Amino acid sequence: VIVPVQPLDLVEHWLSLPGDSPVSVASEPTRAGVGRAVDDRWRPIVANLERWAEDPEQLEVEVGDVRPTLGLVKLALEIARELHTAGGVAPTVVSAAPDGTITFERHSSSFGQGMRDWRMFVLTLSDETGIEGLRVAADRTASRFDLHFESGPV
Amino acid sequence: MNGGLAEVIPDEAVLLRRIPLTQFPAGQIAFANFVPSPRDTDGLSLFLQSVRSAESLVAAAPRPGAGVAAATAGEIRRLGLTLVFSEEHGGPGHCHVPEIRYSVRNELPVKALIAALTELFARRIVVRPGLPNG
Repeated sequence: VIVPVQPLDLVEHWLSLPGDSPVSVASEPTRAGVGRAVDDRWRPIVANLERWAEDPEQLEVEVGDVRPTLGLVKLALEIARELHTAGGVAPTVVSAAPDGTITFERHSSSFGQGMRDWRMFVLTLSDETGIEGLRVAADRTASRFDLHFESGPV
Repeated sequence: MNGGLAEVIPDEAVLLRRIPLTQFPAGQIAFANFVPSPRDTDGLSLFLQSVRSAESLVAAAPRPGAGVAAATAGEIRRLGLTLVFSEEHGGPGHCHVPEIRYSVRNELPVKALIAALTELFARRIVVRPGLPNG
């Protein structure tokens, strides 16, 4: 019997990821209504996503690449605002991929250093496949899972 | 030219990947930069540095702010990947990695390879993506 796996809650999963970056201490209301430290590095990320949402043409894509849809950009913005408010560590990088998806990536501090212990988490937003989490480690072990996002009161 | 010429790319040859400015913070190298596009039906595009310089790749980018990252052929092969000359498709110095092509981009082993390739190229950023005024 195959038991379907329920998608994990995106916000809870993001908050459970190991963080190796300092988070500034500024108490703000969270989804649960309890004050929690927030990461100010979300602010430029949210601002950039707001610019993309206002004018998707600002997204620099190469010839032949697929530009993310406005709906996907708005979902990315909503997720960024929610993760910021919930006290999640900001992603290392947010990017539009050439297949029309948007990624929120967390890289370990050893990433790109030629070390054998790097880790990467990629949150992919796709019009085709929904929201997916991907974990990859230096030894090439990889896992992925569906994530569920429901915006809360911001 | 075809896959038979892959063996003639020496391990010490440097391969370049153009990084369009689609990320922020701008200077970062992202997994998304190594996801194949719909035109990558044969595989992910790279360029031999001995034929195409980083400066020429940046100059040929359709939008300003593109960067370039590098890795050697030997490093790429040690990830289990293949390099194929394909100048007839992408111009002088063009190569591609057939294991990372558009049609298989969502397969988990391919995603793991994309992550490993991203980490490899992130070690050597030749030109950081970004605009002069930030």
